[in-house]
Amino acid sequence: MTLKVSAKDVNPKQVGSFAAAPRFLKLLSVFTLTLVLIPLVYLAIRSSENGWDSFVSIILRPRSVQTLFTSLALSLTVAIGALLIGLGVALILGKTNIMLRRLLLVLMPLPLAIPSYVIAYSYLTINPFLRGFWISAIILILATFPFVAIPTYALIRKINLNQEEVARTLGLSPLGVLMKVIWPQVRVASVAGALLSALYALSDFGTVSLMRLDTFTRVIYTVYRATFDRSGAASLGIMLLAVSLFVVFLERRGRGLVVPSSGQGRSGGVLAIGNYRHLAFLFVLSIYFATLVIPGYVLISRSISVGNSINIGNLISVISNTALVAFLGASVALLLAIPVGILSARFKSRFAQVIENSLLVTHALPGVVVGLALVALGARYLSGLYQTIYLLAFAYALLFIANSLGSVRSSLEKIPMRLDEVARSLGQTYSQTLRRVILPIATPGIFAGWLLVFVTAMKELPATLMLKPTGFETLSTSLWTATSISQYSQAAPFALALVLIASIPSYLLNRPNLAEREVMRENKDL
Amino acid sequence: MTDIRIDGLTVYYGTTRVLNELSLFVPTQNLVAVLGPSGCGKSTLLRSIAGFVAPKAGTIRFGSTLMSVSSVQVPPERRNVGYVPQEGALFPHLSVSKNVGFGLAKGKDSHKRIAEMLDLVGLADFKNRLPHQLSGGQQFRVAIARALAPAPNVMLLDEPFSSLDAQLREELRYEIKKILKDSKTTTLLVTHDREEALVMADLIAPMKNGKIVQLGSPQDVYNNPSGLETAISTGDALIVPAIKTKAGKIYTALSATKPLRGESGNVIIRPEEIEISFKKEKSNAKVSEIEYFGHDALIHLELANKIKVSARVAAPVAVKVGDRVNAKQKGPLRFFSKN
Repeated sequence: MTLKVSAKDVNPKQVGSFAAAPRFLKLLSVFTLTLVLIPLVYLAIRSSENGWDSFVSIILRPRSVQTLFTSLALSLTVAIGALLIGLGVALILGKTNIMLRRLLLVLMPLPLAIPSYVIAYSYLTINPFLRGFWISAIILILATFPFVAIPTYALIRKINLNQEEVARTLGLSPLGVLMKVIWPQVRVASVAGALLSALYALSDFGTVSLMRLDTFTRVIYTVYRATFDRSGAASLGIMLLAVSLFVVFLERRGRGLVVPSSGQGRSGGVLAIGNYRHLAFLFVLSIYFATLVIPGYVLISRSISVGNSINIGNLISVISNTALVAFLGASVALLLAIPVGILSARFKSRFAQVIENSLLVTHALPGVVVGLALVALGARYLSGLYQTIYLLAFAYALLFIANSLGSVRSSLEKIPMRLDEVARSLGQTYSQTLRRVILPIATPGIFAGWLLVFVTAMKELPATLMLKPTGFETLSTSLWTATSISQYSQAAPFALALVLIASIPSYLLNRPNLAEREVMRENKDL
Repeated sequence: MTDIRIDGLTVYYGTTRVLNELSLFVPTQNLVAVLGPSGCGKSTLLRSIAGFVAPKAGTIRFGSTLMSVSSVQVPPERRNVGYVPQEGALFPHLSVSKNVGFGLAKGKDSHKRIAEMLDLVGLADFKNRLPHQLSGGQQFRVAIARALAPAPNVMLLDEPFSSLDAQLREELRYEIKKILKDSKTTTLLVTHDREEALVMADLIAPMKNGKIVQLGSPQDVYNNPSGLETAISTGDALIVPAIKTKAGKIYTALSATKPLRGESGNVIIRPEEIEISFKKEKSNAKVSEIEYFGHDALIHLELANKIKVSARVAAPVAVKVGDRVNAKQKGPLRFFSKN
């Protein structure tokens, strides 16, 4: 039986395919990408405004070369330090039975939530004469070692215990097991974590400025403030951006190489290191002491000592300013991210991948670069937005859109495609399916992601300094202002409020629940 | 209510051809089971009919209405098909009655229809539950009710029972078959479970390498399979070497004599078609192993020429391992030439 197709069978209105993404999603995604790229493209244009020769002469200036060298040295030092400390902490928590293991594990991600400039500030309060390369490096290492420790720990716990036991029966000592069984399996993840530390060091502005170390971020800010020489600052910004993108490139390449450990079998287990475990305990404790206890003590004690002179009204208005801009920024980031998230989670096309990847690399954008780009763009073309909180909120959106996209995408990916199909077969168009099925299910996850961006944006410093309207202060800028005129104690309440309102919630939201997950798994085994 | 006419359907995933000029006719109000191993393309066939996959060539029609031709695809939401994927895929955020009413236009009639559907699947008391508060069997019933509620042209069931345990599966088969029959909906079901296909379907369509190789009633396909694969996919099958003479007579390894020449090939014998008896002087086989199932048993036999066959016998089992017995073939001889 052959059925011929005749012209009257075909209703042109019916053309459309299930697999192809609806056009409005593609258009909105392109819009998002364009919006994100405009400031960066403009920065590039601006840096070459005085001609290619001028650009080259700026980046070849001795001061630029010196800055490049300092920045690279700092980020390399931070990467190595974070790698060593992160590996050490992960190994000790994952492979030994030290005291308070669970508590130390739960606290492990906390340093990531505390802005490094708050740690730097608390050390300066104790000793106002601290400055320079090494103290900056140490603070950045303390603030970022969890980038290495968290993934390394997770992998260490996943390694099949049978592998280690087989290695022992084949004649390896515990140290041999560590070097020949464990290290090869965690190496890629640990180094990728260290590259994130390096990236953080490259884009950090607060710590190096407080410690008066001339890296890119501080020099760009100084050049911009002192001379309003935006082309010069823009050239340096492009240099910084190039270095950052290179680090992201390395990190993303590495991430693809992580070999998943074989899932079956027992995992965990303890390396017998005898009495060395007391030493190990002291090591972990001292890291936590320097990262969490000292800053915590300083913030609380100084806040109490200036307690009477705190202007509560001012503090509240600063807090509400901070929350307002962060709220706007997180919301804009979410709105821009949603179409791209839907496109990349539900339609796995090359088009979606290109847009998604271009947006994800924006997590490499240093706040200083985004601030500079928007200042330059705003002053010249967007005078209506310049010096308003809306431009600042847009800066936050640019800085955190990658995080937002990540959470949108992962919430959407958990929803089986079958639900889309069933909804379509029940007569719903794609937009109806989105509205009635996909978004309602994904909302809690998307909201949690929004909340995380919201609290993270509250901690942003350099872009806020460059873009805030005159007279408008946030927690981070108040802390900065007080510190830059050496009024360390006066800054304490702002720092404390920042930690309480932003750092601790972002820690609670983002905590990988390492310890809890383990308890659950152990209970399931019983 | 309509039939499904598929003609020359070809589907590619990338460069892999999944459906190869497949043709199939599903008569109105019939339940047709497409039976095939995983990877044979049966889910792709179903998804093409539902409109989730765009075929490269060929046509799909519901009755005389064209649904799919290479240049034009009616989008899934305008095909009015009832789709029941594996594990039901209920909307986790909606109650049972909202799930069932999902495809209905809002209004007074929709409440009536939802109640009707819930009665049909026996879940009227569960209408306010959320999917995760239901058992696997209940979830599946809701999925059926949800698909049937808008009175679809055709029902499409994708390995519907595969996630349920064996006992529940058997109960549901009859129940769902009855519901679909009563609703007079044309249904296409794809499965790799031969028992499911035999029990549920009016017609069975074995599938191989992206093509439907046969279409017939369960009995017909079981008794007269069109090929070795079809025979194996519809039940236990013994493949025994055989010779066919010019005169058309077929001799198998079980025959007492052997012709000097003829076309060599295989015959397919179902284990229940082998009869064993204790005739010492005529014994041609030795019992090598017994697989005991309770209601019956599979007796594995080794013939003189090392060829192995097995016979299904009803309990109680009278033979034991090592016995010498006479094995005889009693059913039709289905000869398939070697080439």
